This record gives sequence, C-alpha cells and structure tokens, in this order.
Amino acid sequence: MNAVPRTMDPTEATGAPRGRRADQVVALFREHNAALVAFLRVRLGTLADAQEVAQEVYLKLLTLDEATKIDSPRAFLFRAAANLAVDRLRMRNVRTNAPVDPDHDDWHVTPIPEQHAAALQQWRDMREALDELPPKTSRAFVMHVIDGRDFAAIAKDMNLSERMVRYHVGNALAHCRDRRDRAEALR
Amino acid sequence: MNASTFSPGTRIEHAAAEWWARLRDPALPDQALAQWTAWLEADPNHAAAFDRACALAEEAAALGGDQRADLLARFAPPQAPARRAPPRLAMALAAGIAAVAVLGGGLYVALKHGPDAPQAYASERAGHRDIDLPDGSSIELGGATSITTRYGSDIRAIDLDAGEAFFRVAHAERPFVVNAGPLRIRDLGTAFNVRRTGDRVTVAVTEGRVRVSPSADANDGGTVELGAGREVSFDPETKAMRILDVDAATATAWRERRLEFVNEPLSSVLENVNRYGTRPVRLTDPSLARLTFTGTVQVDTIDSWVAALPRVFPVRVDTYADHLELARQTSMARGTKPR
Repeated sequence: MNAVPRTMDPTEATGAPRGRRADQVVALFREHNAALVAFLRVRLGTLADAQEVAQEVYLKLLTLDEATKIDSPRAFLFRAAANLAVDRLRMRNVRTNAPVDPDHDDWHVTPIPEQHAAALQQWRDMREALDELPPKTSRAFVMHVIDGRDFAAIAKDMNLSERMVRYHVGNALAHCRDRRDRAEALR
Repeated sequence: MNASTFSPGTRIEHAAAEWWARLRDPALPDQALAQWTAWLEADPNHAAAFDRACALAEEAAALGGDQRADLLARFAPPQAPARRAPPRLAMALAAGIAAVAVLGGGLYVALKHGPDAPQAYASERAGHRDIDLPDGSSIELGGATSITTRYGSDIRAIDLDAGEAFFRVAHAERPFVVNAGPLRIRDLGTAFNVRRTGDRVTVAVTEGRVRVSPSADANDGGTVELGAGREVSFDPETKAMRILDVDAATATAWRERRLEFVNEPLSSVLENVNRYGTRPVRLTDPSLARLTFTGTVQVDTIDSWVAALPRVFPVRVDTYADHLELARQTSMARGTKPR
C-alpha cells in the first residue's frame, strides 16, 4: 500500500556535473524525497503529479547559481515545491476551463455495471461513514475534498475559523479511513 | 489490508489525517512543515498511514457525476443565496443539487375531511417519503408511488395504486389490509414490502407474517401465508404465485437507493427504474420486454446502467431530450450518441 517513490536520483536524471550544489541536492533527495513527494501529493492530489513536480524541484535547485547561498536547504526545498505546485494547479485550471468539445463525451466509454461496483462501494462506504459524523464535520469535508473549495471559502460559508474547518476535515478523513480499514479487514 | 494496520494504528491514522488537513493549508508555517517532516520520517508506519490518508482523500475527490452530486447535496447543500455569479460548472452542479434536493420532498395530497376520510399520498419520481399513520403504523414510499389510506372502525385499508412501499404495521384489533391490484395482503402483525408494477405484484415479508390472497376471490381461495424472509410474486401472464426465499435487505434495497431484480422481465424492470430516473426509458420493440434481468440498479446512477445495457442485451440506446429508447440491435453499429 505504501507507494515507493520512483523518483530517480536527480544527478542521474540530468547528468549534471557533481559540484557542491549537486552534492547538496543529492543529500536533500536522500534525506527528504519521501516527505517531498508526500507533501506534493497532498497539494496536487495525485502521486504521479507529485513525482513529476518533485523532479522539477530538484532540477530547479541544480540549475541554481553556485554562488546562491541557501540557509535552510530543507525549507528551501519545500518552498520551491509549494510554488511549483501552485503553478501546476493553475495550469490544470486553465485546462479544465477550456471550452468543452461537444463531440467528446464519455458516454460511450461508460464501464459496464460490474466495473462500477468498486466505485459504488467506495461511495456507499463514504456516505455511511459521513452519515455517522456531526453535520459540520461532514460538511467541511465534502466542501473541501469533494467540491474542492479552499479552507478560507469554507470558513466563510460555515461561519467558522479556518482552523476549525481544518480540524473538521481532518476528523472526517480519519473517520472515513478508519471505517474503510475495518470494512476491508472484514471483506 | 491486514488487520494489524488498524488495531494499534488508529492513533497514527488520526495523526496522519490531521497532518493531511494541515498540509492542505497553503499558508502552512515553515515550523509546522518541519514538525510534519520529523513526524513522517520518524517511523515508516507514519509514512504508510499518511499515504493511506492521501489515497482516501484522492478517492473521494475522484468520485464522478452522480455520486459526487449526491454527496454534495446530502452533506453540503447550499446554505444561503449565492453572493457572486457562479461559473458555468458550478451552475450545472447547482442544478444537479436542486434536482436531488427535490427528491427528498415528495407530494402530499391530503383529502382531510375527517379522521377516517380517505387520504391519498404520493411520492415524486425518485422521491422517498415516510408516512406516519395515526395508529402508529408507518409507510415508506419509493419513487413515483401512490397510495390511499382508508381507516374505518373495523379495518385499516390501504390501496397501493402504483409503485413500491414498505409497511411497518402497529398491532391492533382492526386488521391492516393492503390492496395491490390483483393481490390483497392482510397483515398478521408485521413489516413487509409491496412492489406493484401494473398487475405484477411482489410481496416480501421482513418481520412477522402476512396472508396474501387474490383480490378477486372473496373467500380467500388461493391464500398463502408468508413468514419473514419469504416473498411471493404474482405474474399477471400466468396468474401464478411464486414463493421464494428472500433476504430482508434485498427485498427493501430501494430504501438504500438500490433496486434489486431476480429474473424480472425487462419491461417491469424499466417501469421500476423509471420511477427513479430523470428520463424515462421505453422499449420500442415488444419482443424485448421478455428479456429477463437479474441484478442491481443503483438509483443514483441510472444513466450509466442504461448506457451499459447494450453490453448485456441485444439492444441499442437511442437518446432523446426527454426520454431514452431501447431498440433491438440490428447491426454491429453501436448505439447512437445522446443529444
């Protein structure tokens, strides 16, 4: 279940000369790559994109001028990652807002009902799990995770602090995870 | 997933979910990020739990069309009028939510003239309505279902005109009788489900006992008594009553927004599905009506069920603005596309 990051060592990927900077990047990669990919995964919502953007982060670091002094390499790594993630999300939004091609619809590739079974089961489990939570908790979770609204917008909608919204979202996610694990242990 | 991942790990799972939510905050302070990195790197179980929290959130985010709309409507309905012009996608979504929100309502037509005057109740298509009766009994109506209650001094009579209903009957001196077209169901202290599709009627007992007899026979000839876990189906073509074992959850699956069918003619399946779908499905070729269907139809994903029918039956789906047609598949060509 634990996805093994398949990101390559950045110096192998680029064939860059092994200078001080390269050594630093390799050290960062060895130490924090798993965390970096996990961080990007949370921000981007898919492991594949996270791995791709992680590569970009290392490349960016490698191409930095040797003279640029980095005080806290770890903080720098994650800050660069956060910025690239924002760029990636913006690009994605441009694509989803593009006009819809009327001839392209997924109607004829609808999977047969049996193939729907897994998704339906997931949806039913989630519905049941959310039903067991206080309405505010499930509302915050659905607005953020399913509707994709940010904490600030939800806080405004629900008249709560952002901290409370985050708290509700985390609680709901933990509960859904716990319910799923128990269901899978029985299946 | 093995069991060992959750018994000692629920605290880790909870921490992972909390961290996930904190990391979603674009303004996450560097210090918190450092704490998280330390937590994640401290124990491979932490990293594994974190991955699993991510996976579940991604799964939820990936839910499509109907399921997504269902969760939004159920758990995050709009609270106040929109403050700004919503983008196109949000508007389409809002329309979906409005459509779902109506389902909860149903219609209530009260012909209230006196305590024992007949009362008519109906649910809308895709609706679901709970009715509490004055004697403590209750009725749950499925989609597009209509009933009339007539409570007299010596009898509690219900006419099921069309559709499906689950009855939970409070015990009383006055018998409780449901008239469903060709069948009359007399309760002997119980809970049961009745589905009426024209003259095809299925009665399933989930608790207690009922007595089922042909309505036409005043002397209760041909009466069968059914206990819990049994179902009787009346087939209007053969006039036969078939008794089967049935699981209570299956018999009342519609209450969980599933319709379950066992060897049911396609025409009858479609009539039932049409009590829920937004666009009715019709058969253009009567010979198709005799195909039989066994399986489950999710009330919330009827469109994809219909779209998949050509893979299991020799049919083609023709889509019109207000309805769908199933035609016999004559060539290798796939069904025409909607619109």
